[in-house]
Amino acid sequence: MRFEKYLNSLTISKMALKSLGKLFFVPQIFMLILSPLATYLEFASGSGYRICYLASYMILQVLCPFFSLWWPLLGFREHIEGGGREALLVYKKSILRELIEVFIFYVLHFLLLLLLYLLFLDFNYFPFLFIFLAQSFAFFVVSISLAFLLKSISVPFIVCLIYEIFFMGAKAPGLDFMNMLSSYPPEDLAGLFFPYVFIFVACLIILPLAHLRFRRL
Amino acid sequence: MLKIEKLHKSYKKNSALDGFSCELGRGIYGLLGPNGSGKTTMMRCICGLISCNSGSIECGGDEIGYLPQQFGMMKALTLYEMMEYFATLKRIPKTEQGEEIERCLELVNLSDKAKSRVGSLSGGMVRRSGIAQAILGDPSIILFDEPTAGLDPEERMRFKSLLKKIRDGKTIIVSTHIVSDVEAVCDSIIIIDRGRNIFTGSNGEVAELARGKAYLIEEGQESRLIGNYYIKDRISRDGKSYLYVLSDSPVHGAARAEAEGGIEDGYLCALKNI
Ligand SMILES: Nc1ncnc2c1ncn2[C@@H]1O[C@H](COP(=O)(O)OP(=O)(O)O)[C@@H](O)[C@H]1O
Ligand SMILES: [Mg+2]
Repeated sequence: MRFEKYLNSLTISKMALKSLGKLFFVPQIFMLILSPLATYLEFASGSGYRICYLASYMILQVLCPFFSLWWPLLGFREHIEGGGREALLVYKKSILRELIEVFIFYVLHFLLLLLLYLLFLDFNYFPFLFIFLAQSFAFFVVSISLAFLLKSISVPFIVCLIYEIFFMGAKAPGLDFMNMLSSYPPEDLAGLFFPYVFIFVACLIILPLAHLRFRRL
Repeated sequence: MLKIEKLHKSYKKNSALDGFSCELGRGIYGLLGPNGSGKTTMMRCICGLISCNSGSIECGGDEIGYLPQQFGMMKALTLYEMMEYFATLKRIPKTEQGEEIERCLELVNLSDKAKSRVGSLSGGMVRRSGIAQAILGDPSIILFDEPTAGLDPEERMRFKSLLKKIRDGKTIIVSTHIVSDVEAVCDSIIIIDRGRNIFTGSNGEVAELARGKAYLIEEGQESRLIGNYYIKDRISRDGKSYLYVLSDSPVHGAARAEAEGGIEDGYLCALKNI
């Protein structure tokens, strides 16, 4: 019975992703094709190993958190906004499980990407994995929460985009506490561990709370 | 079986349901009421979309199918894929989905559109796809909120015959503000006004409410009307203008309307307290 429930939920996730049509491939194109390509071009233009390593880190930093929203928001947009919402809500009271499945599916993708970097270019970004995970999870939770609260998927996209633009390079004193992203690989990794665990746990708490608003008409 | 007792629901100060009670067995029920009378609110309460402030709803754990007042979605999918999605949500086993979807699309006469994108369907077709979605999986309680809105007369007739086809062993509620939608197809009619159930009865019993209360008077003679009355229509006959009036007190010198208006008159009498 439990197994069946799980299978049903996986089927729903799969169909939601399928309903995206061509849009489904956008994160894959960016992450698995364009970002390795950019790295390759950097190499081809004669930059040194260290420069390429840093440039790729920056690209990852831009892409990884941002695309964590893509599949969950677009795949479940009908459940979040729009004219079919009311009917869907009657048959499906919660989409939390499906959202998390899709998020995990996404995480598998960037694990693959990191693996590719390691295998082909010997760029080891795995020490930063917990940072990427926490950032992606934070982006995912914040955008899903906003989507639940506002019944809109465009606002979360805009908010996350603005965040990326403003905090990527910002090192403004006083603001750095809310700055998750950085264009350089952080040096003091151990010191970042607790802040990022904190972000992760905070998001774990926020997600179910925001979900309480999901069913409001 | 569906038992609704003393349902109260208010939005801030505005009360949408005000002690609504009714008991429904098997059959087709017409939920008839003017706009803003609380029909949608009641349906949303039954299918658990909103919680009521007080009162109780017992539905014995039956499956519910629901067509919301506004339905339109998944424009990028084909109609068949949309139905597949609903079938999965309703946990219909994969092996039975195909047959069940065909059956429902057949019932709403959309079989030939199964491969079309939902975004390319006309308004009436989208409405019918909503009906198909509601009856998918053969639920024992089906709620249709204004199902005939946006349907042309032929499609309305087809909807009525669909109701007759699927009715066996089910509780079906059809909400509408158009009397002719429920006429000749519903077993019972529930009249709702300002969140209260003001009348429950068969078609005949509703029509009975207006018995002997319909009058034809010449235009300009409204001063003869006393008590509670409602001017339903203007009729011209033999070059003269008449008013078709429903009145709870006798109108002297007026002709009783020979053809009494049936359910519509009864509905108006219940609403206007005549
Ligand atoms: N979400 C809402 N917020 C505030 N008032 C509402 C809301 N939904 C319905 N109402 C009010 O509740 C009353 C009943 O509405 P509704 O159930 O939609 O009526 P009907 O479906 O019979 O037209 C109306 O007065 C309407 O203004
Ligand atoms: Mg309504």
